[in-house]
Amino acid sequence: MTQQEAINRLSRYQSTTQSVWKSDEEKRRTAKAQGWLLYSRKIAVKTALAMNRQGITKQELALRMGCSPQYVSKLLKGEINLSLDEICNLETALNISILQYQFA
Amino acid sequence: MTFDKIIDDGRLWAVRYDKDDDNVLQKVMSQWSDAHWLASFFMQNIEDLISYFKITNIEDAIYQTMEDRDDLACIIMDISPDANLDRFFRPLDNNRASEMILGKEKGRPNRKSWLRLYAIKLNVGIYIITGGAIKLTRTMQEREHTLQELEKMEKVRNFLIREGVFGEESFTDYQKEAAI
Repeated sequence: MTQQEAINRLSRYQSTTQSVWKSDEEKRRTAKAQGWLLYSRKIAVKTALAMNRQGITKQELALRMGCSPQYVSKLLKGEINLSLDEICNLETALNISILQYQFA
Repeated sequence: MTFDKIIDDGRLWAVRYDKDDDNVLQKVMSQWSDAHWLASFFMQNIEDLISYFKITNIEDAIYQTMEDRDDLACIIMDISPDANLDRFFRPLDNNRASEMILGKEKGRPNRKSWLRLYAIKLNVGIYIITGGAIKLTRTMQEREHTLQELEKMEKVRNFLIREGVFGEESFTDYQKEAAI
């Protein structure tokens, strides 16, 4: 079987809907190039560790922040370019310091 | 089970398992960028992290994973038409010397990384990603999450044989080619 025959055979079982893998990676690449992914990830890691320490779920954090669990999921992947207002909201919700620590 | 083309020329695919919204590459890449998922994983596997990698700080492990994950994404996103995928994927069994039909393969961003992509080799230079894992132990059989990856590879392999994607005629072709 040639390479092309193998590809043709597998193509018969191709998914009918588009994967978001490529578009997600392109967004992440842009965020990295713009420089904010580095910071959004640091906030994501700090948030995740605080959640684990305090035994807080995504749903509970969403309730405390007044947002959706989907938003919290994106925040924890560093996918949100957070505003100062949103960071303050997160600090209050988890009783942690993010900005204060950086500017102390 | 269906398959998603990862690169347009059809040399790299990823499995979309039944009931999943997207393929396994999307799934593992998403997990490896999720600080919450990673924190939970490393807390559960802290003993392996310490004994095999001498890392005691979970925060360091999370950042290392994210960095390696980005490197892996770059490798895949930037595969050029003349790139040889046989150089990225290697036999799962380090001692396997000969070609194997629908061979089980692994790929990683660099030699030191604990990240693994697992794949089935459909033909020369054509791979199907079946899953991925953070491998902290020497063998895959030692932990449930890596053992599951072995099972997934077997499941995909059986599907390809059963559905005739790599059928008896291909098996004969393969034997002829191997004999040359």
